[in-house]
Amino acid sequence: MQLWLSLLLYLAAAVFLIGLGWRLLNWLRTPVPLKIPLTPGPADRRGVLWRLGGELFAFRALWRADRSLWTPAWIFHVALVLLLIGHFGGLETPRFACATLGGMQAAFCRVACDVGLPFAGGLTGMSMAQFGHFEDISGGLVGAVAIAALLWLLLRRLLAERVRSISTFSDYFALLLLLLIIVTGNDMRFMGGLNIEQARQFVAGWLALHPTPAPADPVFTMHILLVCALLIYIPFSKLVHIGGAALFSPTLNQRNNPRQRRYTGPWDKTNASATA
Amino acid sequence: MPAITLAGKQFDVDENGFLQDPAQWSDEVALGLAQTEGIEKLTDEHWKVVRYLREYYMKFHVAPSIRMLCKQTGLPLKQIYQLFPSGPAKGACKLAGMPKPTGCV
Amino acid sequence: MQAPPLKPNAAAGAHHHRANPTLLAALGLPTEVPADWRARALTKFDELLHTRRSLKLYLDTCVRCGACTDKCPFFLGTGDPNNMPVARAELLRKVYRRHFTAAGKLFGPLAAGEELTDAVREQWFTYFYQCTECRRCAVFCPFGVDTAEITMAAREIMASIGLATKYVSEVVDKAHTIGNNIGIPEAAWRDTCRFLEEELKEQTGADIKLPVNQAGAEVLLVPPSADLFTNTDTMMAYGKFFHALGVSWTTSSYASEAGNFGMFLNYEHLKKVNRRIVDAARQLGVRRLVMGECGHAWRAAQAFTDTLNGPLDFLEKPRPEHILEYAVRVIRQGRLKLDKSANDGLAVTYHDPCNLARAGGIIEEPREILRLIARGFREMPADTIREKTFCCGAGAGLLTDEIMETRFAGVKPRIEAFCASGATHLAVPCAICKAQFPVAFEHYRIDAQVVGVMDLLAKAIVL
Repeated sequence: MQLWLSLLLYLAAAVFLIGLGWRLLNWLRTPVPLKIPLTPGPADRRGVLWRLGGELFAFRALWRADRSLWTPAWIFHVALVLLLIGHFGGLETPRFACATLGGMQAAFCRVACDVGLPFAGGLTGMSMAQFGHFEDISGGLVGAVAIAALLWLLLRRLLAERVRSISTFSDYFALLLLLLIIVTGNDMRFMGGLNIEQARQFVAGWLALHPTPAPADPVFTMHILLVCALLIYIPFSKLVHIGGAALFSPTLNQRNNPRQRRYTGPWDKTNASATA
Repeated sequence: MPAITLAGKQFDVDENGFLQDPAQWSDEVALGLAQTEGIEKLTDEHWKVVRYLREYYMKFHVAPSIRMLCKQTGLPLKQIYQLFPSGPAKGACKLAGMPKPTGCV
Repeated sequence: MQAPPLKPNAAAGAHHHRANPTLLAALGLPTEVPADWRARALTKFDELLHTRRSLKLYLDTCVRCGACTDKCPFFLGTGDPNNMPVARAELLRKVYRRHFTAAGKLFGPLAAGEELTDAVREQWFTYFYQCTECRRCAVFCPFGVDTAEITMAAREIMASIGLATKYVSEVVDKAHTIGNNIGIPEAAWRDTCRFLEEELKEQTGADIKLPVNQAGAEVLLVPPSADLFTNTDTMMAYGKFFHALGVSWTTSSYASEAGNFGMFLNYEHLKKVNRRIVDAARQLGVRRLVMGECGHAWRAAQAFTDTLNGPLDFLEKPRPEHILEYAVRVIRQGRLKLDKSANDGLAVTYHDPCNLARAGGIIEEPREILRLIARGFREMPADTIREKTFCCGAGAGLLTDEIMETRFAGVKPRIEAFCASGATHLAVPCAICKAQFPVAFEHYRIDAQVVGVMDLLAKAIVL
């Protein structure tokens, strides 16, 4: 039963991918008529990469602005990335899941495993059982950290006067959605009740485009439903920033070189012929 | 457009109380404008400043630089501020019936 | 500076005078807000969303994290929540959501969308003219969201329905018709230069020229016109500087303004004002284009000129230069004899004009000069200088009497930092700052003087 959950998840993923892609393409296609990098700023590409990398991986501007915001924000984002790696990279889809599949799907699954395994079992030489135990503990721990960071962010939104005054419904909605997803995830890890092997097969099969029935566990169903909601919500909300908003931002991604080479705004056609 | 009554006549002024049409200016108008600036009595020194500004404006269609104003009237800037509390570019120019100098001033 | 508690509507009453119909007509704008203003504004909004990625991206990506909420000098000074950069942008963003996003169209207020009503329009006119486009918030934003871009777009939308301030419109009109912001015609420009030459003679004993419209000069210097009105020391300083170098230079009575208030109105006027400088440089046949002590002028000149009205390949150095860059170069080459004792006894600190620091990269040059010419040079606190500098509170068309209280509030963080430095002299290479600080010092009862960096340099130059 419950193939519909897989199908819903495909639908949500499609909305997510197409929606996000469309948004990013839209940003990319909108012209940047003038040079507006924040100065002092790098004049060369390498410098711009450093600048963008600093924002993307270290949240540099946030560090400058407010450490008590940087801390939960950075921790949460790192935890989220780790959880994603855990889900897709093999922690939950170890090799034995591949054995149940054939042909192309098996190959795809194996690639998925090989991305993630070096992070854990593959490198440490643990047995499958030890590995399973390890991933439960580490995944659960990262989940707990993410929950703590989210709670911190939520409390900050509720208690800090200035932040509360600018918060909208969607700001709370996004936080609550993420909280519920991770809480249900950790519930399954620690409270038991879920057939973990079935869950692994579900994820592996889903990834390999060969859906298998979902475990008949209400918490699992809820977890997946919430994930669907998040995926669909992202392209239509501020969460669209996960597309790497800083990468598209002219104040950050432009080289500060208007005086080294002429920058021609791609939109105002009269510029090119201004002096003709 | 705001208007004020000076010496029994109506005059159009801008939002800051500057005469819209500099040609309407006269000594009586200057006296009336002085009231709006809270200046009770116009001394010779007041008139020296006003007349110089007026003369310069009629010739060049703009206010002279502050430095030139001080030099030509022989009055240090501090004293001009005492004469015209809102300053040479506001109070003094207003009394001279010229537009308020704007720009980065 | 400590962030104040929120004081809703604290600055809601601070309005600039609106431009009158004559002025608006001169600028090609609707002379009054038309009956169908809402549709027109949304059309303009739509056009900008398709031609400016900054606007679209910055409306899309803000996560309301709050990092910027205590960074704007106008919020710090007034406590008005709409002066928090994120809230200022929300004034535009809420309309964007309602009219241009799927979520806003479907869910309206639930998605924080709001109709463009008369009240919203009034909010725009109030708060987008309480932003000096100083970009301080952008330095602290994880996505580089630049409120200056939002403010510029909002002002452009407002201009398209005949909403502009008297001050900005008047200045732009004077720049178009006379050539400079103050409105000094050629005869007066020449007369003032002659007068300042006499002053220089009196001061230095040398025959120092302030040439006007001299074809074939090496340098076209474009000063802010305030340098011929209030900041004459700076104008005289340029003269002494070039005289000491033996470099031929000239000003232009056609392009007699470095500043570009078009930037504070809309793209079209930004481009048109900028054009005069390029035309003058070509016509006079100069080899170099040097910009005087003005903040936003430098942004427009260095970042936009080549794009808007270039290429400048008729110049030997086909890019605008800043006078302080130029000065640093010739000092390093040993071409000036300097005596720093001329500035002894002055406790000098340096104010980074926002556009020089965050939109022009002139940060170290003035410091290098000041260290060489003033023993008493010291910095203000580190989180208030360089790219974190606090705005003077009067840029981008805010230098009006009618919002004086807001100006005093906006300059407060800078004033506190200045007091912490213990300086008696504030060196500032920007005409708007030079107009704002004396008024602010008087208001806060601070006995200090405002000077140009070039003023101090000229004092130290030995002829």
